Amino acid sequence: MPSATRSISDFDGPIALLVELIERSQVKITAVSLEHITADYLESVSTIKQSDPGHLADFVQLGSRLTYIKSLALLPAASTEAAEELSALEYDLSEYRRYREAAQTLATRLKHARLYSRGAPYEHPESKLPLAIQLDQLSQAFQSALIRSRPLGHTTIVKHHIEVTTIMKSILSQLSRGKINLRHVIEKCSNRLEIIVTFLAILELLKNGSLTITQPNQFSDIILTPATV
Amino acid sequence: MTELANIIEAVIFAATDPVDLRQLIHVTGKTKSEVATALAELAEFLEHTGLRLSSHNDTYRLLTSPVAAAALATYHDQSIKPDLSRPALETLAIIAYSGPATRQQIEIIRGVGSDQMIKNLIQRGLVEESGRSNEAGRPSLYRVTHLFLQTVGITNIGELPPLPEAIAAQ
Repeated sequence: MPSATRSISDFDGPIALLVELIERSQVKITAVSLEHITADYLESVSTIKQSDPGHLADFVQLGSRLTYIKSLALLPAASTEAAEELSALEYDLSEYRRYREAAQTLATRLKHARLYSRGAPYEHPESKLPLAIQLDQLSQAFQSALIRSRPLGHTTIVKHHIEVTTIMKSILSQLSRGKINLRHVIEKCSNRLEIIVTFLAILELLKNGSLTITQPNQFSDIILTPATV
Repeated sequence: MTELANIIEAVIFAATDPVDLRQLIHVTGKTKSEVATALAELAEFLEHTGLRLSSHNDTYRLLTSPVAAAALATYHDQSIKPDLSRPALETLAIIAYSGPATRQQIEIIRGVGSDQMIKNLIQRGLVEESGRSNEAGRPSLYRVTHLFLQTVGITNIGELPPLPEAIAAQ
């Protein structure tokens, strides 16, 4: 009787689990052995924590498939159907095992001869911050900039026409020469409207993947980094 | 090597992205057949050098020879550690061997929802979208990338070891 619940990530998937159980018991999968295998399988599944209903459903689905085949095998009249279902199950397991073996070969290759292209190796995106955090930092920086900025004087009627695309181009051309400090970008803005348009421009560039945002520590400057290819 | 093969070698070297066959035809002003012959010539020639010609989806790159793997890992200050989980490798194997594949095709073999796994592999640059299937709902198709080839040390998808034969469960 299993005492601890296991996380769904302990299992590679329902088919992987079933294949493992079959290999461990070292029996050929037949209508008879299926009884025992199904029991093992259902017991393993019962130890899974309820935390991930989506993936748990995949395990339950295979469990019900096994139970269905088992019940068919018990009915003499359904023996043909039982044999067909069993055969289909064997096929699915066999398909999985082919790819599992192919994956093992790939794993070996991963350890050895890697080929390189020119330049720096591909940078794993996980080393960059998730987009949500970048957006958060960006909006905080702009909010404080807006608070500090001078409002457009209402005695002066000036037609301000600044396009987001113009600012985007300007930032991109600065980025082509290297990283940019956001504070310097904002300091160059002469009024609040320009700050807002600049914010929109950087947001667009962030969205289309032209740049990423880093903030080395909590109160340091925000740096705009050109995206690596 | 012929001059055309030399020119193509130079173009692929100078390019930062993989070079398209159509681009090679355009920049050399030669026919598709002439370019293809020159590419085969280049690939063969490079087999004896420290570089290799890699081809994937009609695009070409120069890669390093496998013999340099250790030296380059040291150069880049990288230890060659495989950080892909078994489920990730299985998903990659499915896409590599039967790709372009839809999410559903992948899920049928693995028996588990694979949306997140595919997204992770795309993020790591090993998988990319490659159009849509003609099936109902026009689901996205996924294929392995140039980076995948590099990572498993092959220069084109044909170099993958053959998929194991159907294995009876026990």
